[in-house]
Amino acid sequence: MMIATALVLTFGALILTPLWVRGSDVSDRDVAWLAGANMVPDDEADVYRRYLGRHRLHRVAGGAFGALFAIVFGVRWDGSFSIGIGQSNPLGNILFCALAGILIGALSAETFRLNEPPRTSVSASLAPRDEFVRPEHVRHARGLSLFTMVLALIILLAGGGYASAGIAVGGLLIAAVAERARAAINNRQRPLLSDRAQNVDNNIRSFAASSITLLQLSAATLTLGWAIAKDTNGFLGSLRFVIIIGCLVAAVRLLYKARPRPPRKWVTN
Amino acid sequence: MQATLNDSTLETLIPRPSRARNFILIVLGALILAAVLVGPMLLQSSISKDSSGTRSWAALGPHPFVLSVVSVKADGWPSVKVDSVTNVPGASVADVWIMPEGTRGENGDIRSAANFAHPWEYVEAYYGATADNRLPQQLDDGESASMLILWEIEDCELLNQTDQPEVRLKTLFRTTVTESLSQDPVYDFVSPAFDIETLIESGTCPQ
Repeated sequence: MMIATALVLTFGALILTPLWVRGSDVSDRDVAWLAGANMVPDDEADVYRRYLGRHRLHRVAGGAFGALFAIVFGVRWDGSFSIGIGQSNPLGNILFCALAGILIGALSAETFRLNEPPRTSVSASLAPRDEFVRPEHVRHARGLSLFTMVLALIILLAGGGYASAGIAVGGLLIAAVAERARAAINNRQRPLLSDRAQNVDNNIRSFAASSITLLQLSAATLTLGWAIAKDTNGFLGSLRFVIIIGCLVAAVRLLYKARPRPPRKWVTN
Repeated sequence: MQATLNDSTLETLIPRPSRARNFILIVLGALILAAVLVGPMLLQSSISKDSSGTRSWAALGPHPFVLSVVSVKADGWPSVKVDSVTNVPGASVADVWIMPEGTRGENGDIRSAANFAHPWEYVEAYYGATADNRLPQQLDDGESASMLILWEIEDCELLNQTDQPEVRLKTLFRTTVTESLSQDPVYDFVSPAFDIETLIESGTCPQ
């Protein structure tokens, strides 16, 4: 068993290392996408590049750790790990744990101190704050997490087992990480900046908040699918299979949309 | 890309890396993975039937008792505490002993059970089982042993070959793990109802 685990760890590390390296590689196209402009001055591009490199690295590291955790947990505790929805334990599920890891990585990436020179006084902008994220996405993500919790409690009371409720609580913890990351983005220090720097700051915060909200929505969708899949009573009858597949497809699609890279068809103006 | 326009406030937006925080996160991640890796050894103790070892099943007629002897192997670090064996419908566990691996009756003739007033005396006389061998017993990781289960048949109507007992174990952290000894749910020496016909022939169960 120990040899098998060591082999799996080595195999995982071999696959994840190139991903890790690629995470910090930020191209001119990536910078133009984040800036929303074709021509980006070098000093602005440097800020975007450093920020995006950090964001990607932390997310990839978080996701890789989550996937590794799922593999180790699955192999050691259940004898196997899974990728889709419904098989064995969500703690041994690569998609579930990697998504949670990406969110924790994003939280780590967004909690940083600004690179201000040491001084005795600090400055803060009193300008009204921009809205960095679509509020309906936040509402949907929060609503879905609460809906899953209520559904899991109904399943529990109807004798469908504790697993759904446990998964729903896990989903709420992941949602709390996402909320904390969004708060870190919104509440990060706002020193007095030039108009150019202000614009860069807004672009960075806007990207991060939107991406994390999509990740939160993806995690909430995946949690709903798992909570339904783990109901031993077969609540929802034949609809159950359709909903589980729908949740899996939606979660993967949202995860893809939330990636810190320009869409494949995106072109600079 | 365009040329740089001198703007000192832009530099403040560059995240300031914290090596100490990254180090703490990496150490924390490694500790979590290590805990997940060694967790089963500490929390998931198990005991399995050693099919290559000694095993037997005998109706101790005329007493309404059955003696099951199975060879078991412990898996759990540093040791596994065998706490109890559960009852099955129609029969209750009268006593359980853990004996050194390979223990077998001095006298293979099971009919001699009739010579003893109580089945306990038979088990003590022929298997050398004493109070010191009674559950709960501690088995080292990987240690093999013989488990003697003395069943008292209470209701033959309720006996069913598919009802298999479970063994309760205590882990290092005092948590309880329930383990089934049988891989085959129908045919197993562990069950008191392994051979209903013999129970009828020995007079333990009515025709």
